[in-house]
Amino acid sequence: MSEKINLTLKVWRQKRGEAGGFKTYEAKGIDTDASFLEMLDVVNDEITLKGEEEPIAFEHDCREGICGCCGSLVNGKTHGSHERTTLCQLHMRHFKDGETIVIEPFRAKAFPVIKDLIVDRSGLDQIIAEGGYVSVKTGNAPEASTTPIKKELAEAAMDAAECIGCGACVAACPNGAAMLFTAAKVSQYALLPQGHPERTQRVKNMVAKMDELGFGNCSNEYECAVACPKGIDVKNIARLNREFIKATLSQGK
Amino acid sequence: MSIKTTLMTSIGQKLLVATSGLVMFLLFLVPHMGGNVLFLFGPDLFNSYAHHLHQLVPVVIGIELLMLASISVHMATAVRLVLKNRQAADHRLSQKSSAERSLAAKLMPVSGVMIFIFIIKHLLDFKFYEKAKTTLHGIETYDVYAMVLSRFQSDPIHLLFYVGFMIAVGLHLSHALQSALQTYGLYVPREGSKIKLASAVIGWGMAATFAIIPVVAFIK
Amino acid sequence: MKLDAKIPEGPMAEKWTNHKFRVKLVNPANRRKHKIIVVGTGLAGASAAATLSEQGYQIEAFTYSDSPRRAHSIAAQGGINAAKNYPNDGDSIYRLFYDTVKGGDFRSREANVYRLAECSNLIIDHCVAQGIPFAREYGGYLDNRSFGGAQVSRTFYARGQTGQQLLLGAFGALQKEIKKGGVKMHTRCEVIDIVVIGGQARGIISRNLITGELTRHEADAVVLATGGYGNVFFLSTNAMNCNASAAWRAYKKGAAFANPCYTQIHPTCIPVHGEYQSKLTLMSESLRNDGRIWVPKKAGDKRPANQIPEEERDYYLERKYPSFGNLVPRDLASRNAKQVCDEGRGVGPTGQAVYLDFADAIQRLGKANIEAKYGNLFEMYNRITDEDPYTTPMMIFPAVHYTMGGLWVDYNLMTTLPGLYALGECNFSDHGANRLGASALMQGLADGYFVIPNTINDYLASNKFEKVSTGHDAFAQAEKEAKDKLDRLLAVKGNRTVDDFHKELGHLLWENCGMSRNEKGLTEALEKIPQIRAEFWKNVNVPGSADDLNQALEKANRVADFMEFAELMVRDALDRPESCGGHFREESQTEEGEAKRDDENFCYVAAWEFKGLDEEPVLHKETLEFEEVHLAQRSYK
Repeated sequence: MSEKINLTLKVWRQKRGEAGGFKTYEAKGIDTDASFLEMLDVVNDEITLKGEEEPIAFEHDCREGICGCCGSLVNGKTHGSHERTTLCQLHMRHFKDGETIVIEPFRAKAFPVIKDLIVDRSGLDQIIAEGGYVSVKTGNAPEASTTPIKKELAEAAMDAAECIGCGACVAACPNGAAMLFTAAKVSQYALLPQGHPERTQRVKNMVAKMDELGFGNCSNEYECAVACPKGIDVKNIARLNREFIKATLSQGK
Repeated sequence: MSIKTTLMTSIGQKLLVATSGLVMFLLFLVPHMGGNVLFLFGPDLFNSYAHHLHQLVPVVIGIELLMLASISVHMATAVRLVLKNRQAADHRLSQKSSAERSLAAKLMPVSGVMIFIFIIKHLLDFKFYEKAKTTLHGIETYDVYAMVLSRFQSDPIHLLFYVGFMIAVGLHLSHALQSALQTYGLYVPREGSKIKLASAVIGWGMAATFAIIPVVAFIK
Repeated sequence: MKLDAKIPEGPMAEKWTNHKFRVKLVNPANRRKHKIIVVGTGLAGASAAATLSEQGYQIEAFTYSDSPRRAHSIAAQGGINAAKNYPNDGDSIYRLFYDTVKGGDFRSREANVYRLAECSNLIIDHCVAQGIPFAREYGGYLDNRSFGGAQVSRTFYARGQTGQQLLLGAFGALQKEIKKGGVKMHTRCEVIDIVVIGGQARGIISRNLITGELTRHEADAVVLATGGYGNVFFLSTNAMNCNASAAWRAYKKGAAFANPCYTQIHPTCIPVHGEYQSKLTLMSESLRNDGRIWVPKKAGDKRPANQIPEEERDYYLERKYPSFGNLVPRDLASRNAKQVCDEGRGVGPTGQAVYLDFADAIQRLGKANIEAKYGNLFEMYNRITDEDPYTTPMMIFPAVHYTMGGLWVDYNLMTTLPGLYALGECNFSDHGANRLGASALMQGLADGYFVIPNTINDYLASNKFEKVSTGHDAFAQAEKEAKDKLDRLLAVKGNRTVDDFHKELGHLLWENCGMSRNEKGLTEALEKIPQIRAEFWKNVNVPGSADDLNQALEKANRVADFMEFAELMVRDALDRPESCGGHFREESQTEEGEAKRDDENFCYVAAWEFKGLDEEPVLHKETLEFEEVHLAQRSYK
């Protein structure tokens, strides 16, 4: 059954182009059936009507865990680190009455803060632009059943393709690396025959872009895999490494 | 992309660290441990091993040069990576906490620096040190056994230094081995991984084996 | 305004082929000279932008999200229909066409639907070539499943995330063209107005959502792919930022708005649980294959489900529709749930829910079987409600899910405003008064990948485009109006939040223009909406400034448009006293209480023309002719 709880929030507030800091808010009478973002809605309504400052800016859209918009560090953990759960699907029943919750933006050099809890994750799109697709023009495609694909491969590709691009892997990584994100895309196309003609170029270009944008290096500590709300596995990182080594060895071939 | 550019990418740099590390592990650390173990079987065997090693001077010098190159590459690349990662992660002001990373992984830079300090000290202790002579089966040779004994006997601080620094070796190796394999593309799972377990067993086993020698020397 | 649907001559099966040959083409060397603006980068927008760029046009694409990958197409779970007939179960293009026209309750345009069915197979070919990991059988070939409204298995799927995978495919294609330089992508940019010069759509005004800067963009054509208006109800399964603003601006600039009263209410959603609730979550319709829907026989029975004996339960769908039972179409399932709740027999803390009970299925098939089939849905339900559907019956209630109405478009997908096109959910064309499951993805991609790239050239080749500069008066005026509106919103400084007004409006519409509608309720709503709107402009509180990232201002600007749109929606509902598809008028029902269509008087598309906010809009009718599928009353008894 739902009940009402009171919480203290320490929220990161940052204006555009300025340094930020934590500010404390009281969240009173929060229904335990509410989602984390709905709790923030309630707090924002109060801030708005008080009229002393602007409501807390946070990114969100679908609120059903698939668009990848939402995400903050909650008590130091991405999306609050409830296994395989995005922040919008985290419910307040997991918090205790009287608890203090620290909420701050995803931190990484490649994710500069725009305002409050909103960060710029456009780097992830730039990595995809380097080859996170099959270059097929509309109209080029052969009949869909021409190439049978082993069920296991299709399933493994789907495991990788489930990435929602929220950036939690980057924020959770001690090095701010985008390896899991990049690996998921590279893996999807390394597993499926459709991705093979471009596989050499794809992995090289995507890795090069990842480095250029200031993401860190992978030190195989697997924080990303714990943080991923879709449970993308580090086997994809191993596969990315393999693809990269293969691409290097097949130089000029 | 040339090999050089490849090696400058993030994955390329990781491969450099992994490869230089593995070279040191396989060509130096493993044989070195094998030799050291002979210490436990008395002066004759140990001095004989040292003697034979000295017969192979060209090989030894070759390996020494390779070690010098490896350690330079290993350290230079690692330092570069650590600095870049510090910058990329943006830890300032954050309450970010970790859920998965092991202590060994977290302390890699620290254990790495400790091992470097240890290597210098170790070289000063045994390589660049005046050694006494002895005769073995009628041939005059260095009394390496006596030297080891003399360095540790009645010097508990020295002993503690050696044993303590072996903890750094254990930490470093236990993460390094599994990490290198994952970097080479061999899948090391997050949970219940045999490779992870083997990595820890080998790392800590080697560290313990190395640590036994000064302890034995101290007790004798 | 004259509605000319431009349906090509000839037999149904040859219309599209003939049309593609007859339309004018733009020489490849000249395409680079044409700039096209694409607004919205969901399935329809991203696929259109990518394909038009592949053909050589200069594209500027806009999304309010930080990335095109966030569009709400991503949330579609079930799948995408295509007439491949891989299962060899009698499917064909003609059958898909037939099912869609019938499912739409005979309120869609036959020629468009036929073309949609034709394109469906090309979509699957293309998406497979893109490397979309569709579900496969052990032999390595594509798997199909069945879906509501059809007797064949024609739905392709990628687990429960088909929309996500298709969107990411289109997103990849878009990124490919961005990289090549064919598409200039504007993220975090919301389109605020459409600019019309010389009677043609020639550009847009957009607002940079980070800096608040208003910018002008000129083009030879503008393509809207901005989704539906379901969020007018406040609570819906749409994403929080989905809005009708771009379509509404287009309407105010001369594009007719068609059938705004057609909204789809999905029967299996997680019920509302509190005032703070921000959105509703849909659960796949497939649950109705094994779950039994019931409520207590007695009104006001507050006992827990397991204490209500079998003989005191009313399995109302099984009772009323013995041959279809729990598997009646969406509109029937939804309407009946509302009816029993209105009788006071609803369950749960709010009384606005019915049980979906798996106890019998678990007994019959075993828990393991049910878990294999629905495990992920049960987990999702448990995550949100904290209840275990294996032991207590699920509670469900209908929720607004999709809108069939939208901007009126001709066969070329052009609105009545020359040079302005509408694709995907934001047009009205293919689903009539009710959309079948797994057809939204099909339509979005058909429009974007295959239709618009073959029709927009006709307009570009047959018109002369004077060079317009963004310094033109029309741009200046549109920008000024946009700025004034934002400033006015900020200046009110009232006592109520934007959401508060949005909830009030949504509640009114849900009660009076929701699952079932009547003249009294609609008339009342039509009176109340202008009052709420007036109160909104007097008493809304929008904090912050216009030259900064200001989410409250973004929302206020969208809600201000919903306040106007709602009136048109209710007016359209009032003006259609027949029942059809998602639009159930209580005055028009059979003796058994089922929906009764009136083909004699209402077999038309209602396209509304804007005449000024205080003027009544003018109704234009596009009469629907059914050459292939014969008009018949649906029955699921």
